[in-house]
Amino acid sequence: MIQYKKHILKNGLRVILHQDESTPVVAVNLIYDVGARDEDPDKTGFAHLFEHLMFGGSVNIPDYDKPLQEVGGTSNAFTSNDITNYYETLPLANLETALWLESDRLLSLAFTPKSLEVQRSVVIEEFKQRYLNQPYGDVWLLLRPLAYKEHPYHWPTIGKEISHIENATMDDVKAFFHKHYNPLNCVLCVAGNIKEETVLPLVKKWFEEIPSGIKYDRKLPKEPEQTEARELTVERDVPVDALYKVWHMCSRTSPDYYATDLISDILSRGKSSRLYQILVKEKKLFTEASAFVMGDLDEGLFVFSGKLVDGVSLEKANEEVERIMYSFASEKISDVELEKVKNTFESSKIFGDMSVLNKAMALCYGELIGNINLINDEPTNYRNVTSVQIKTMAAKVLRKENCSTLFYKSKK
Amino acid sequence: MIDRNIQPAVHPIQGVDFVKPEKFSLGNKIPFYILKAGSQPVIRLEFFFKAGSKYQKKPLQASYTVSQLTEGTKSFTAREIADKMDYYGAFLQGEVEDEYAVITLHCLSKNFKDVWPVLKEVLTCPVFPESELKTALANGKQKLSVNLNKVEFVARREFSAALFGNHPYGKKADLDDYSKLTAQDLKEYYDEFYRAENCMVMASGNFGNEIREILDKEFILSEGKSVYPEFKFENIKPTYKNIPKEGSVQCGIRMGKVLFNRSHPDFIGMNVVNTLLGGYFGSRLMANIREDKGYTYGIGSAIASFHDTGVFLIATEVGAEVCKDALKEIYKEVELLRCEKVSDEELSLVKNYMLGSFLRNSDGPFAMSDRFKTIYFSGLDYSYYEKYIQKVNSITSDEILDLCKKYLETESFTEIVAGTMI
Repeated sequence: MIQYKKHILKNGLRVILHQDESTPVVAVNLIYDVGARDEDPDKTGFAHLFEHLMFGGSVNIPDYDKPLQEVGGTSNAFTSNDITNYYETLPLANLETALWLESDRLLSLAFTPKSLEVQRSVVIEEFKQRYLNQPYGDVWLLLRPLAYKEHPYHWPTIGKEISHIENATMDDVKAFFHKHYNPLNCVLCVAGNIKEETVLPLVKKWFEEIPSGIKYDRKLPKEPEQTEARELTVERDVPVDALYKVWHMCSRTSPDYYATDLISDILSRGKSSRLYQILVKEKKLFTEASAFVMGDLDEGLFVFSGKLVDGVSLEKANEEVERIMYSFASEKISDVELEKVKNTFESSKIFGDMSVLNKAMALCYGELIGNINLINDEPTNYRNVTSVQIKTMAAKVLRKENCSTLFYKSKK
Repeated sequence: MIDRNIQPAVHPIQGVDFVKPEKFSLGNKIPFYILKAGSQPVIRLEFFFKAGSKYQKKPLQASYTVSQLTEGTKSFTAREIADKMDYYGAFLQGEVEDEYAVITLHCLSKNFKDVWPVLKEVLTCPVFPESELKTALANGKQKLSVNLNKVEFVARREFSAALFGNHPYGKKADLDDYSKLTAQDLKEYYDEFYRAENCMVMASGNFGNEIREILDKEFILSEGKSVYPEFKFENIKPTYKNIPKEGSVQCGIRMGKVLFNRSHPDFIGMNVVNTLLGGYFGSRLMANIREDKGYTYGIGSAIASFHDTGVFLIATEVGAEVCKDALKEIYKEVELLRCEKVSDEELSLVKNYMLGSFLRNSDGPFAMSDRFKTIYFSGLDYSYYEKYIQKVNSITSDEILDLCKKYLETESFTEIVAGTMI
């Protein structure tokens, strides 16, 4: 059981403290309730661009990185369609520096023109490096608009297109900050060999006086139910064909999530899994094939992704994948198969909990989505899934009408 | 009222309290190191064999020998092995480096006894089924053909080849090597090098004594001395090479030179130089080429220590239209370090960053055992880390300048650019 203490400061900031005596390092994690789904459809890529700007200097501290490096710390962040997460790890004795830095940029950024110009270019290079210059890099730029017509998940975190980032103005950026970056819209966790009596006063010292701001009231268009199969074929300069299929599923917070996640594990976790054994080993249709769930906070996606063996046709490969997926609900799931995926979840979790940073992130995330105890509930939630529940979810999710397929052809 | 303009007190970083492993000797005198730490009931068990890619007679031989161990043994098929491992949530992986092949098991301590019967056979009596190898080679060949489209991958390959020529460190596998490898090649490699004499085992995590008892009784390898060829380094001139790629929006750059490994007296000093130049987010290269010019998403430098030597390198992917400018800026930053002394302020920041990094990289049982393996395989002992901390703390800007002058002459750099520069 991971122990923790939650406090709510006067300005509404939620603070979680977790003690871990085994580490000389302290982790400070701050999660903000804003992701790509909260962007204006004509100004996408902002949440991620903004994440970069958060390192460009705050109102009282012109350089974010140097003071942290000086105290032997390191820092990073990531943005998803749902959230933006910032973290530092540093020697315990210097914890206060991290609190000083995080609280100042929560208070306000420096908003220098130079910072916006540089990070604009950096993000454009990131767009190129990850999405345009890698073989199969643009898959999600194609799949998302295919699967989502109304909901903001139809664009990826990096942005719909480079021009949105190119055209971002300082006013846009400032408006974004005021709307989303305030104590009511984030959760802070400090995890390490800490004592509540020393750390809580420090947190209050730096964070409590920051004005609360207005709580962000999320109102996003709902994705209408998909009623017929969708397909898209593209040709790219890649050596072999690839196949991608996505199906709509429930949200991360739905009780149905766990059974759905275990479907993907039964299909694709480990070398004994069905997709690997049938598609890669036995029928040699794919060189690699996997299934996974996105874990989105709004209704998300169940994904199949695979690279074909050279010479195998996309039609044939797709047929076999559909056969496996669409017969899943009616096929037997053995006790061994079910035990196996539950054991794998448990083992991974126990390894994951070795890291103080992982724990801090998980505690923040749980609190943000409405259950601070998620980190302790999850093993039970997975253990309790029955094969009947799994088959029910398979029948609900894995249907042709619910599917969008991307045929990614090699130009050769 | 707090004053946000004043940084909180800075506390110097203390040294690391290392947990050191205990040494035992297994059945056929195989050294077995045990490092117990942490509270999570897990074990990471690593089996090292001096069967790395340096000693292979043909490309892919070493890597496929280790990866095919799990694809069939005397009593178990690949499927049965996978079933057993997956059922217990255990992870088994084989990898090679230049000197060593390593088979790593991660599992909950309570499940070691459940997976051991299968693991034992994987290590001691693999059979290398032809059909499994065939599938693996076909898939591996395809993965390579995809990777050959990545500018970073191509730059990295070409760089090693340019630095080392015919020495094994420079050899790379090509697409047609996949059809030349046979199961017999793997059997021969296994028989020659997977012997007791060439093995070391390390266990880290939180577990009981039964692991040692089991291994002691049941982990038995064949005996006999293996024959290890020796290799010489050629004297290779610095090379400039551009591998064009139509339509690439970025170019992959890799440049640097052969340097020296961890046992060299200047290694620690050069580590400080390396951090200053390109070893952290505030480094000279990052500050210029990413944070000032926006040419890249990331740029860095590294000092790699191998068994026989070491390499200094700078690596990045930059926009194709700014590649020529990026190269200019990289050389400019290196030259700057060779002419101007670094300020006390900047040097102090680098030192603190390095000590903090060292602390973070020694956190937990797996990190601690990684620190042990580093010195063990370099033929050093824990005094190396005392020396490291002492040197990082005491090095002066004069010494930094001397090291840069001595080792970073850009005329001695090999430069590889993958992608078409616009």
